Amino acid sequence: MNFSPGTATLLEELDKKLMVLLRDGRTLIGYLRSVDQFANLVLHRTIERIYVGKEYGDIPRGVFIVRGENVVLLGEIDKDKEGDLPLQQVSVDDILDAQRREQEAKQDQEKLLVKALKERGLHYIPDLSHDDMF
Amino acid sequence: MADTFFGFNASLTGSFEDELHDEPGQGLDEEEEEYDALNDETFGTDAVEGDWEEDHEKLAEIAEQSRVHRNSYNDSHESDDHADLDLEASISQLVLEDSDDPVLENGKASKPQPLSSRHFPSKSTNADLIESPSYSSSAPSGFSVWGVGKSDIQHHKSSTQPVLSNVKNVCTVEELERDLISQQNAVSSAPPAGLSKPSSALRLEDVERDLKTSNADVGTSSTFPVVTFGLGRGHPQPFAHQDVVMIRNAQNAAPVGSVGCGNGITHFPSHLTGPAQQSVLGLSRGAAGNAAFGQVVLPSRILGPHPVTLGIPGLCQLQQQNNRHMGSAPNLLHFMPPHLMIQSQQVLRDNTKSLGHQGFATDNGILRSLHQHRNNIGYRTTFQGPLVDHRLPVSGQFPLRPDLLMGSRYVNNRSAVGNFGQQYGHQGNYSCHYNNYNSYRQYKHHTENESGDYDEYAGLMTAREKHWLLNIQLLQLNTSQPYVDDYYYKVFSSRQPRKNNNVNNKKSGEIRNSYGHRERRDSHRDRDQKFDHQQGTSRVYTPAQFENSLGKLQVGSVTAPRKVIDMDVVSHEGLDSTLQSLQRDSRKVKQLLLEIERLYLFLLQVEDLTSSLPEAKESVAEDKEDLLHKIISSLLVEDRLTSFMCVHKGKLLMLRLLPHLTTLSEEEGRCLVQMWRIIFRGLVTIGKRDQASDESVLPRFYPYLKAWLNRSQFPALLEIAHSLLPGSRDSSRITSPVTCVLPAKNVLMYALGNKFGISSLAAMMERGETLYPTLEEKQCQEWSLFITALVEAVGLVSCLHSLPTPIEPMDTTLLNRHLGRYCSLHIEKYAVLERVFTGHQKVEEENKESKTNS
Repeated sequence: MNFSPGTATLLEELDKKLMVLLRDGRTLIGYLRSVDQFANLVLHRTIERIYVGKEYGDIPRGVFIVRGENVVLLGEIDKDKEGDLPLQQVSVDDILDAQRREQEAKQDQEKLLVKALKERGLHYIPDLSHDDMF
Repeated sequence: MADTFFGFNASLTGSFEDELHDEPGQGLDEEEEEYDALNDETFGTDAVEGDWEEDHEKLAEIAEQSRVHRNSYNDSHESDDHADLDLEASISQLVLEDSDDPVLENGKASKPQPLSSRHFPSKSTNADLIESPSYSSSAPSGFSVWGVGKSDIQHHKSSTQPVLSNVKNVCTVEELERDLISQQNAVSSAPPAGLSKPSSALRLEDVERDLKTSNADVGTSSTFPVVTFGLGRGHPQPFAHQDVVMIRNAQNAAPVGSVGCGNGITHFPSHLTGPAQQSVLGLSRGAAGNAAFGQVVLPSRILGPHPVTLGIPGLCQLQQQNNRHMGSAPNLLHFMPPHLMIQSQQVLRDNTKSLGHQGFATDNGILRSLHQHRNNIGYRTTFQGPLVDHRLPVSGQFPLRPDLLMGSRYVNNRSAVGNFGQQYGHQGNYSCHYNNYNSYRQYKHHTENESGDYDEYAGLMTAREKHWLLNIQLLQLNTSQPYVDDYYYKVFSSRQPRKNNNVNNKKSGEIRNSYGHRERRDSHRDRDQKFDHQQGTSRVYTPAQFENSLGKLQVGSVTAPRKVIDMDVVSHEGLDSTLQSLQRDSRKVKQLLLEIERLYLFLLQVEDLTSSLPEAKESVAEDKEDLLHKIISSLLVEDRLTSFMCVHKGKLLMLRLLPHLTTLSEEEGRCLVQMWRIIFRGLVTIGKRDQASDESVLPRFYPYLKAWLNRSQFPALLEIAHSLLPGSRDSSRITSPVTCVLPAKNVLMYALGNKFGISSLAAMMERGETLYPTLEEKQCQEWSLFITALVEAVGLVSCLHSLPTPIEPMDTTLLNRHLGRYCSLHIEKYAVLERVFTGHQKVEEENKESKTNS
């Protein structure tokens, strides 16, 4: 299929295994089956991969339809290199635990920061309404 | 023999039996001894010679036409009566006389006359209907298939022949089945009288064809005579006068008894079955014994109009048997209704392509199933069974399990087959199959991905959809202003031919690179100087931190793509005044920056007008004058210019603007004066900010000032001078807090300490000297005031060494002359002034010392 030169199009990525990064920080890996003019994506055989430190865990999700505005970026996965990840795969439960621990640590850190700033007379309110990670 | 097969007298009485008696004995004998694949029963006496494939193709076409014809007929007349007629027609179609049998007749495609003409008797009145033996009180139309029996044959002469042949066919199929059973079981049981007619046997193909072609919706399934194909195991069960059952559940080997409908077994009221039941039952009993049968419809004497689901395993078994005995695969096709052939061949070809050589030569043969249809749309067949490519999405009855199916090319076990049969027993909606099938064929071509793995979900987006998307994208690319919308590409493409032309076209104030386009000086400078200063030679990569950055004011560069430049501190409690003022200030800063941006855009348009590219000129709609006017009018608002000059980009804006303000229109001249006045008035602030910034831009203004001074007259010069003077009406209008705090004199003093300031003072004095001859008395006085003040300021400077030298140091003699005109100064002061303004400091000091010493 001869796609128009000079245009950035997702049509060249159809049926490829892609990694999609969403605005809320999630990482999805799946086969791109369909797109539309808003860059909405239909992902097939999708897994959600959660990374914590040097570990990752996959949650199988099936078919995803992602609204285009929520995509930060996507990239093709090299199938050869996919098997040689430097990270360690763990079970879903383990990775979710690790993620939770990481979140808690972050929150503790933030609390310390707020406290320290307060002692210095600065009133810092972290933005709690985080829809987007980016 | 017919009597004993079922264990009771299942023979049909009357002429029916007479008819059937023609052949049973012979055929039966034959089949008992040997089962000839090409026997008369299947092919007729002369069938060996013909090409059966072609024959059947022809048959299929004819059947198709007749079916279509019938469909059209059905569509136009939608009434039960005609449904009955269809019923009757289809029934009669099932009956093949010797003369009518196309296969028996040398494979001639001499299909009996079109059904519509032959099989639709005149409309019968209700009375006729009730009186007819085919009357069934339970059927909505009053018509019952069971009613057509021997008496009908006698009564309805018009349909005698078809009925007879129907009956014949029925019997022969039954006979066939029975024979097969007996073959397996070595049970020598005489076929029911009605069943022993091999030569005019109703071939399965005909049965199915006729069943299929009748599209009438009879409404109840209870009018079906069903007999299972019983092959093999199981003992014939006594089945006296019981209902014919429709056994759907293949697995159950359901006893031919009263089984609930939930099991897929339908009862046929016994009174309807009529004398034909015995023959039917005989078969079914045998069939019941076999565990692997699906549902097969076997017409007893008269078939129901509905096509019934033929159990796949049933067919399978049958064909298996046939294969075993006949030994050749092509036989299988004989069991397929002609009009299915076309479709089947097509699909089979596909299947065989994908399955290799499994097309016909496997044990279980090609399986088909017929499905009930409630609407007249037509047939949908699916191909299932061992040979079926399981990648083919089958009916919606069971979910498509691509993962499961992907690996297995075919299933070769009975359990799977049985499964299919089981599920297939439903009268389902198979439309989804067709949709699947079509799309399957569609994307089948794209299923191979690069690695060669089969990806059955590939190609979901059709070419049409892709083109549609591309069109949308291309539409968005259409622009009437390519220079504006696609600047970089345009410039790049125009750079190629202009590479060699532009060394000579340097304009003042613009930097032209070798490509002949003005380069943005900012980016140039940033790239070279700022970055290296800040980061040094080693650049450690820190990944971008994106948190909380959406919605905030950001500036983007390569190193920091989303650098937030606005931090709003939101606090809920009562605001401090400082906080408030901070907030106010930040708002002001924002507004200021936005204004700078706005003016910059105007400036860019002005520059486009003077650029060499024609597209650039065309892209600007307004006049240069207008644009400049816009910019200047905005600049001269209140104190704005001073604020602009405190911002780096504002200074750049001015720098780029000044070259364009070279016309000598009066208005422009006035504006320029104003501008310089403001700059000098706020020199302290501006200068301090400038020096505090990374790069001092102010000295770059000097050439413009010089040029302007040289072309302007004394009043302008005086105005500038006044702006530097303390206590002038200009200085009284200073509103910025910084300058208010400072004593007025400090402006001059500051000017002395500022590179730009001292340079501009020098320039002013030079200009003054030049203008001196033209000066009037008053002007001279005013100018001398200025000079005096300047001298005083110099005197106040504590450390003369720290003063910067002017960019263009004055000529000593010029300076002395000038100074001499206006004030009588102590000689020491001359020296100082010289030192200050001419940069000949050391020389002067030495001279002075030498003078004093001497």
